[in-house]
Order: sequence, then structure tokens, then C-alpha cells
Amino acid sequence: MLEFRPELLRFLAARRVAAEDSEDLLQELYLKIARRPCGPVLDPRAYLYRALDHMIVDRRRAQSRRAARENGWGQIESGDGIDPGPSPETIVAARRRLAAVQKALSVLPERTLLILRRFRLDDVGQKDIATELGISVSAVEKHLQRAYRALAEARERLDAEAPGPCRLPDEEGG
Amino acid sequence: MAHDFAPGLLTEAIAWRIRLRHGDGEAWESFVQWLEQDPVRAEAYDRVAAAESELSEDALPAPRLPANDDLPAREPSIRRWGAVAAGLIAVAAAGTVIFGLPSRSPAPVEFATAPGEHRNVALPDGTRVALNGGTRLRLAGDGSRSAELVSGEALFTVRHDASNPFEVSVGGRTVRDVGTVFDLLSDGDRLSLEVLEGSVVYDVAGGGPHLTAGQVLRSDNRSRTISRAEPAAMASWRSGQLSYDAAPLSAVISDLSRTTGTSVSLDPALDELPFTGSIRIDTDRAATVRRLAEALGVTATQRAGGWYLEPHRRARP
Repeated sequence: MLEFRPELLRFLAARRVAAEDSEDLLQELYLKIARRPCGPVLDPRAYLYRALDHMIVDRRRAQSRRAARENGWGQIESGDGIDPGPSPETIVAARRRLAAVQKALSVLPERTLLILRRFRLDDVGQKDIATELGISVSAVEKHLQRAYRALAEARERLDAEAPGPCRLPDEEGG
Repeated sequence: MAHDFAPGLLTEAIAWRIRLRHGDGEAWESFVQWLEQDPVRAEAYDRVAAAESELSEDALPAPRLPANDDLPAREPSIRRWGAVAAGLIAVAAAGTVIFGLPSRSPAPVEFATAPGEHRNVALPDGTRVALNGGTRLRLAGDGSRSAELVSGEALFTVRHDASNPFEVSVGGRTVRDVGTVFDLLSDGDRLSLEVLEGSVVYDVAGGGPHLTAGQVLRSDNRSRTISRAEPAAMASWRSGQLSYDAAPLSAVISDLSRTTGTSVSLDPALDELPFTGSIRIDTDRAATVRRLAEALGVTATQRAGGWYLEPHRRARP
């Protein structure tokens, strides 16, 4: 694992992770690895990258949600252990995001949605999906491109209309 | 925030995101080189990754085909389903069963899957249940929103109704949803409850803990623990993968047998061996078992009726 340290640091820098956070993330990654005494990993190098990448995405998502809450979406933070349950504001925000994604996907062809599901939710590789459906790998990728683009656009629209601190409810329906 | 990336940048970022999901070390290395050429690329990639993380089972319309069965679909077993047939209003071509009860049907209805058989059930209230192999699920026939997980594992995507919560009883306790996707496993005295979305109350009668998305409750006759896990990694049997964090090997083997339908048994000396990691369930079952054995450093032999795992036969220090 140590042998990969330089390239992982380079990866973190390329992902625009600040140096002090990089150490933090690597530490977290080491702990994760240490806790798996005999787990099989077919490609340890890819595993490390993937795990780090996942941690970065997670952190950034948590940060942006925190920012959204501070902009008027009140939420009582609670530590690990047993939560009092999500606050109504969190639920409303989550519903809003879900509705936006549903809407963006609703216009896509069924085959595109099926391929997206296989790839992202069922974690089936592109080659296997191509075999299943009897189409080429590049056709699978085209479907995925289209689906991801729709997701990115939905996200863009959400960000654009994210509620700011001064927004009043009656400004919405107008 | 740069909302307008150069033409083609978003396409490239998406292509990387897609490639890296199953990419090898070299793919990651090339990705870093790509990122380093222009800082705006990292921003585009972040945007794609964030957008992707909004995708959930709920965001996708239910597939018309049983797309979520990683394993080849089997013919429905008519014998097993005979008792159920009366309650069915429709059986889809190869997977999701739409389950509808006549308005008054007092008899409970049981769904059962053979080891290795995966099945989706849609209840009249909009709740969806995905059954793993070797599972028995009993539904109240009186139209009440309750079910009993007799044994095995199922992923519940519950249509929430605060005035009429959905309840599942398991091992004498009740799990009540509060608008939720959760995975419930009952295997002998071992119970696991993973909350993917929303929240549930476990052991309603005992005033038990309230679990929210990202929490996992595991209990056996010795202990009960609540821990955190990434919801994306939960109910992983659905994606042909089983993931563990320091689970006894006996539990892993039981799950593997149930999920794949390939019987695997264990030398008692290995029962308590802690296992952490993921098992990818290959359509080639023998390869799955061999890979696992290799990773564990044990010997796998094929015998009549299944596989047997045992310690290597050589002198140990």
C-alpha cells in the first residue's frame, strides 16, 4: 500500500484536494485497508484509486449539502449511533432532488434506462451489458453518455434553483 | 461555478467516469494525466460524479424487463407457486411478479425462492420486494401492510404511508418502515438490517432503535451492533456482489449458497474465520468459489452436492 502513496497523492492533487485533506483521506484509506484482514482484491491499485475517488465524491457531496442547509435548510446534526431521523427539511430537499432526477430520466428511451440501471445500480460492466443485449460496447457507451448527460443537466438545473437564504416561499409558484 | 465548459469537456468527463467504474490501475493513471493537463477538467469530473451520485433505484422507472437479476432467470417453479397463484393478478414474462390480493383474502400468501433464484414482487400498495435465493416471505392476506420474513433475505422498497406503516416481522421482532428502502436478512439466529434510504424502527414492541439511511444493525444470539455503511454498498447481493466487514466465514458461506444456489460447506475449523471484502458472483459459479478459496488461502474441493472449503493440508507453523 505504501508503494502507491506517491501516485495516490498525485491523484488527490489532480482532483483538487487540499494537501492537508489529502493526508486525512489517505489516513482514512489506510484504516479501511487495515480492517480487511483477508478480503480478496483482484487489482489492489485500482481498488485504492476507486476507494479514494469514492471518498472524495462523498465528502464533496456532504459539503455541498451542508452548505445548502446553512443557506436556510435547518438541520440538527447528530453524531453516529442512533439518529432522531432525518429532519423534514432534509426529506424535502431529498424529494426535490429525486423529482428532478426522475424528470430528467423520464424523457430517455427505455433501453438507455435499462443500460444505465445495469451499469450503475447492478454494477455490470459495459462488455457484459453489450453481450446481454447483443449490441456493441460502443453502443452501450453511447447510451451511458446520454444518460449521464441527462443526470448532469438535472444537477445543473437543481444547482441553479437551489434555495438561497433570502428566498421566500411565495416567490416560487410565481 | 463554471456552468459552461468547453464543448466536449463534459463528454470527456463522462467517458472517464464510465471507464473508471470498472477500470484497472492503468486507467486511473491515464485519468490522472488527463486531469493534470487542465484544472477545469477536475471540475467537470466532479460535476459528473456528483450528478451520478443522485441516481438511485427510486429515480429510475421500474424496468419492464427484470433487469436487476444478475443471474440468469429461471423458469418459475409452478409447484412452489401453486398456492400463490390465486392471489396473483399478473405474472410478467420472466421476473417481476405483480401481486394483487382480492379485497378480502384472509389466507396469508407465501413467496419462496430456491437457492440461487432471485425474484421481484410488487405489492398492490406500490411496495416492491426483491427476494434473494433461499428466501421465504409471507404476506398477510388481509390487505394489511405487513409481511413476515420467515428466512433468507429481501430488499424492501416501501411506499410510505405515515398513517399505515409497512411492517415486517422477523425472528419475533417487528421492523416498521418510516418511508424506506431496507434490506433484511434472517439466517438462523443471525439477523441483519441495512437501511439504504429513509428510516425504520427495529423491534417496535421493544421500543427498539430508530435506524436511518447508512446504518446497519446486525444481531445474533450473542450481540447486537449498529454500524455505518455506504448505502451504495448495501443489499449488494442484488448486484451480484456480497460484501463483508469482519463477518464469520460461516455467515459468508451461508449467504453465498443462498444467493447463488451453489451449495458450499465449510470445515468447522473455518467457521469463525473473519472475512472482510467483496465476493463478485460470477455466472461461472466454480470460478466464484475458487476465487474466494484462493483469497482465503484455503482449499476448495468439489464434491457431490457442492463445494467444500477446508484448511490447506500441510504442516502449519
